[in-house]
Amino acid sequence: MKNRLLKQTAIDKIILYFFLTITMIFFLFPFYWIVMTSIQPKGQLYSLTPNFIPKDVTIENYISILGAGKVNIAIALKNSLIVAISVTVVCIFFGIFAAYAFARLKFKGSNSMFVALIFAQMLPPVALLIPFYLIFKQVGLTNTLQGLIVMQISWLLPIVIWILYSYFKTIPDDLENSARIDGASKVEALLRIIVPISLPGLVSSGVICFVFSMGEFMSAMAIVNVTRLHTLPLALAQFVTKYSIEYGKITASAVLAILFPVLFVLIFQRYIVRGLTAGAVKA
Amino acid sequence: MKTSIKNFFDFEKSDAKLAAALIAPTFILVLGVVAYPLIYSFVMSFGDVEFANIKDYNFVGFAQFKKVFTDPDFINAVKVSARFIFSTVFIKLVIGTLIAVMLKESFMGRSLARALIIIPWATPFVVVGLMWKWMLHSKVGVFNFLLLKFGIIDAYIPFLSTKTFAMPFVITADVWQGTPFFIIVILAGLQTIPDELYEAAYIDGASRIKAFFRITLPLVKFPLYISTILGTIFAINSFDLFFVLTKGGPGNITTNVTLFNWNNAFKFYHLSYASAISYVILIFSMMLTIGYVTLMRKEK
Repeated sequence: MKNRLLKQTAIDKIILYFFLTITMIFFLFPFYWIVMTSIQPKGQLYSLTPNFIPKDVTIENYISILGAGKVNIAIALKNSLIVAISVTVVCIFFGIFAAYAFARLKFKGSNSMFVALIFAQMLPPVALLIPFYLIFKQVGLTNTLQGLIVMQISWLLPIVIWILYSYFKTIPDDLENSARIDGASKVEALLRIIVPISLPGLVSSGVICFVFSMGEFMSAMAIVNVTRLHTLPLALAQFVTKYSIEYGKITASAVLAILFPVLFVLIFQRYIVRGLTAGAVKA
Repeated sequence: MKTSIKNFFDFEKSDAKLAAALIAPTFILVLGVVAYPLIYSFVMSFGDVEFANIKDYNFVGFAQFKKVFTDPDFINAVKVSARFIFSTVFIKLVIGTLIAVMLKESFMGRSLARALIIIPWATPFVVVGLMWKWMLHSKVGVFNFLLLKFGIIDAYIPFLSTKTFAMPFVITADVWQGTPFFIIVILAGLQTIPDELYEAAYIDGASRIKAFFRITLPLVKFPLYISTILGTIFAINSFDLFFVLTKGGPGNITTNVTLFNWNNAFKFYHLSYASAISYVILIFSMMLTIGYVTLMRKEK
């Protein structure tokens, strides 16, 4: 028989749902609020009583930010996606090989090299911005998307390696050995056996990499200052520096900016949890 | 000759060679890209370079570092950062633990709740800043509206430009974005605790609160440590929220070390001075990273 303290009584249930409701309102209301703001006509946004349910629905905010305005969100979205997808693909590609070496090969200096990567990733970004800016200027990488991509790879590749490493560690040696007995080389065994089983790890590290890349702001601001190369965070920050802040347009842009990260996170939720806890919970 | 080249590329025999080949691109992409800038700004921090005289380097020894530690604006920035880090990490730990405990219970819609709670983590900080700026608007913000309606305030408050409220609301926005990470990490730890432990404790007459302090907390010690260290490193580097919400104001009440460093580098163009500030922040971060790595090792 189960102890009564392990079971939820009616009162327990009420308390649980009460706090659950507060928690969910706190974390989700801001999303509800920007979506509602983004679909209301300008006139109703600045009335003294906010509409919790919009009286009139319009898509004029979305049309105006996607058209050719001063702040063009369509271009910013495209730039952000180019950068985020390139960074993710490169990180996954090189991450697979490095993580495999760290997880399954025995070699001198393996540990210290792994630690060096963690340290590189933990460096405060602001400390690297001046040299990055000056060096990039010399080699012509300021005001290019390639510059953003190179910079972000150096910060995100260690995270990808860390997550893949924790996946590769859990794959039993026997699987790899049986492929090797059949005559496959180590690299073949990695590509044919280990990579396919580690698909969840690839998804997890890929989505995490993508989300971080889409959000990167400070370093992008340091090396890009032309509107046509603005990524979403840069374009959004532009709204604040303008004299009149138009929240209809801002919230519409914000909704577009979070669309991809949020969709990916919801679809791949389980994998992401596993990836985020890779460095924090014993495998 | 031919055979020796063949042997060199024979990865099957030597793990070390294969490892070198597999890791080399990563090392070039990560350490190669980071090492040169690190040396660059190290050299810079012992000089007197401004953006205007960028080609003109004079060695000035520790002068820039002396200036950092005696600059009242830097000392203010350290205090701002300290306030921010302590509050945000502490609040995330407490409510993160409580929410994780709650999400471990069984209830209808649990997997939906667990999925939805991750979304703030995926929201870019600039968007987080703009969301909260809009909700906290001094004239038409929903937050002011609700507070007035429930009689908590009797006039609208421009929260983000008020000395008392600016920092608490930057912290609120950061807690909103960052708590989900703490929840995920702590919840993963909680799920490894077997129910039998609680059963045994309750049979021995323990209350739920006692069980929480005697069983739950000690067993999620490791996730708590890790999220504290990682949370602290994130908090030192926090920039976007400050930039979007307050730009460091009113006055310099919310100018943290990262924003202070940014301003010196990219607003005032004191390149050498900013590099010296960078190195102070860097050394502090590295000490925390050493703690993190040591902890991970110990656990392994």
